Amino acid sequence: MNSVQITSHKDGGIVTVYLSGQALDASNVQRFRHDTATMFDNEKFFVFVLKDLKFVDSSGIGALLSCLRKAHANGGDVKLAEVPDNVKSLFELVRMDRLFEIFATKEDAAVTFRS
Amino acid sequence: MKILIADDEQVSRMVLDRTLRALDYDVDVAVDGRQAWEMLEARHYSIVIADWVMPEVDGIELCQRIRRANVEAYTYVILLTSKFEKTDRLTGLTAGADDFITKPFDRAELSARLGVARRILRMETELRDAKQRIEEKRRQEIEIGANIQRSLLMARPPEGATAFEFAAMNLPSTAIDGDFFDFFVHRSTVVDVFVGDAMGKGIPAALIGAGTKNTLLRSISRLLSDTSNGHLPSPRDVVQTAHSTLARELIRLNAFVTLEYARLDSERKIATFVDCGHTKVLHWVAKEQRTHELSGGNFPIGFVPEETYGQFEVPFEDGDVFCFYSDGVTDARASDGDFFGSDRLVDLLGKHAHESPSELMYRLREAIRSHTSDLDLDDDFTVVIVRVGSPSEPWESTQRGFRSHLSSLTEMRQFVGFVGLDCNLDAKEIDELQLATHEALTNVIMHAHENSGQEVVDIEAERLTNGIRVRIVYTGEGFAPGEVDEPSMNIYREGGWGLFIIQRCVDKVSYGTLRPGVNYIELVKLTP
Repeated sequence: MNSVQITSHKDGGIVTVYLSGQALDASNVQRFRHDTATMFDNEKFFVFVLKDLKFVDSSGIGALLSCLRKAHANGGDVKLAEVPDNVKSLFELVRMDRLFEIFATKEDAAVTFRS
Repeated sequence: MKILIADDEQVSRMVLDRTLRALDYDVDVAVDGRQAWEMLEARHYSIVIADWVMPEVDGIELCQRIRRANVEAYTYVILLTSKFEKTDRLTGLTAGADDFITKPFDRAELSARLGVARRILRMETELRDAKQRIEEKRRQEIEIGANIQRSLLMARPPEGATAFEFAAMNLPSTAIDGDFFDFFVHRSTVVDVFVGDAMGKGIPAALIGAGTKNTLLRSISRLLSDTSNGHLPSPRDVVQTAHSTLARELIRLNAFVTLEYARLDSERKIATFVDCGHTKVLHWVAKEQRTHELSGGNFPIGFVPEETYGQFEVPFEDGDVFCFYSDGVTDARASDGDFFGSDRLVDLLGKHAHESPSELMYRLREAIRSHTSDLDLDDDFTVVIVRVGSPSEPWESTQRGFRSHLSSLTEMRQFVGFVGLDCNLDAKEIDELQLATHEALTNVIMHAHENSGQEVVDIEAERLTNGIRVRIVYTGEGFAPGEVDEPSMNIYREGGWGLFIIQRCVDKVSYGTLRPGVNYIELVKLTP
């Protein structure tokens, strides 16, 4: 099963997380939840870069929302950057664009944490 | 204009409060920096007058917090100090203070400094309003441009030219371009295809593109009505006629249009091209198994007032493929600046030329998407693919079976993408159809089959005159949709969007039983 590849690096207190794969959907969302379970324990500020994620479905949205909630619980936040058009349309459709801040570039997103 | 005073010395606070009220200002008072910050978090103050020295949160710290808060409207900060050395002022300015007043203060000076503050705040407000108006205008312009593009510049692949198979696609860039294309079917074996690009961006380019396309169509009609013997006007004559109407206007507007005008005649097996500075046409020659790049030598329309257009002919065979494209395709850039380029396009054509134009187009779109990581395109992306020969398997309906398991979802989406393109859905319509089908299939796999992988799900597609009907047929327990809630803005909600998404992404959804034990979900996606 094709799972979402997660790579991350930390710079100045901000963790940039790159998600890539065919899809974040019902087929791999459990794995994704497992893989990101401890990510929020010791860090607060996250930028998720979605440019290499080709497709997201409703369960993928649920998993991203769960990440947002964990970050909030820690006094942090998750911002999204470089979101493909089809994924952005989905966010707008289910109004998640009002819960997640979406930025054109990861630098734009990171700046909002620093200011 | 509301002012907040933050001062821990009672006397000084009272004097300031009274003086400001006497000057007719609306004043709130905080007894220290901490309280001032709480009040600032609760509402906006245009002006804050803060004592430099306060316990815990001092004037400097307050200043820094105000600047960090990054709220839209500006807060003008004046620091009160009795210390008045140069270094202090520097510290204050660095922290974000706008002005300083020395205690004990002079009433006239205070009034004058507040006058400055008001002037600056007024300018700031005007600037912010102007910026908002410009952004709104810009957004409206993009929307108008996108509408022109959809309605006037693009076309659906033609029906009636049955000797050929077509696929056409346009992905608009964020800035509107003047890409356009259209078809003119003379008879089932002869069709004119033209693809053009009006230079420039925004609504002007879109309007020039629309005007050019309109002039070309009118030129064909006029020339056809002038000829009586059933002879078709040559492509050269069509372009020449359009030129005589357009060239001077375009020169006056300081604009020009690149154009590729082609006639494909499958009786004579000859393609005739008039190339006016457009990107090269790719011609996949089946018997050679290789791609030729075709280009002519005319100027773009609007370059020079007098131009005599030349045409050239190329023979073709059944199975050959012609690919017309705008420079937005080859100029599509990856985030590291690497262009998609014509080599990749030629390579892709070579590998998939035996597939239907729709499949080829789908692969091209995916290749561009993954090359650019789906970032916004700088230029419009327009492609028209024509394959010579009747469609090998023209389908009114088609179907494919899949193993009912979540791991089949990617393949299922791809199948829906192919059939959607075959039914002339555009890029956004395909995205929506894929998403709706995916959500419906996930429900079937999880709820009817518990992701066992033992069952089979059939996806049937039926071509409609203006869209496509996709039917998911499955065995086992049928499920009916519950009430569809609007998605709430609740961060604690993690699911239940599936049905909402399905309903919003397609035009019609129905559920039912085909025969005992066999159920279906039917999705209809219409093209406008």
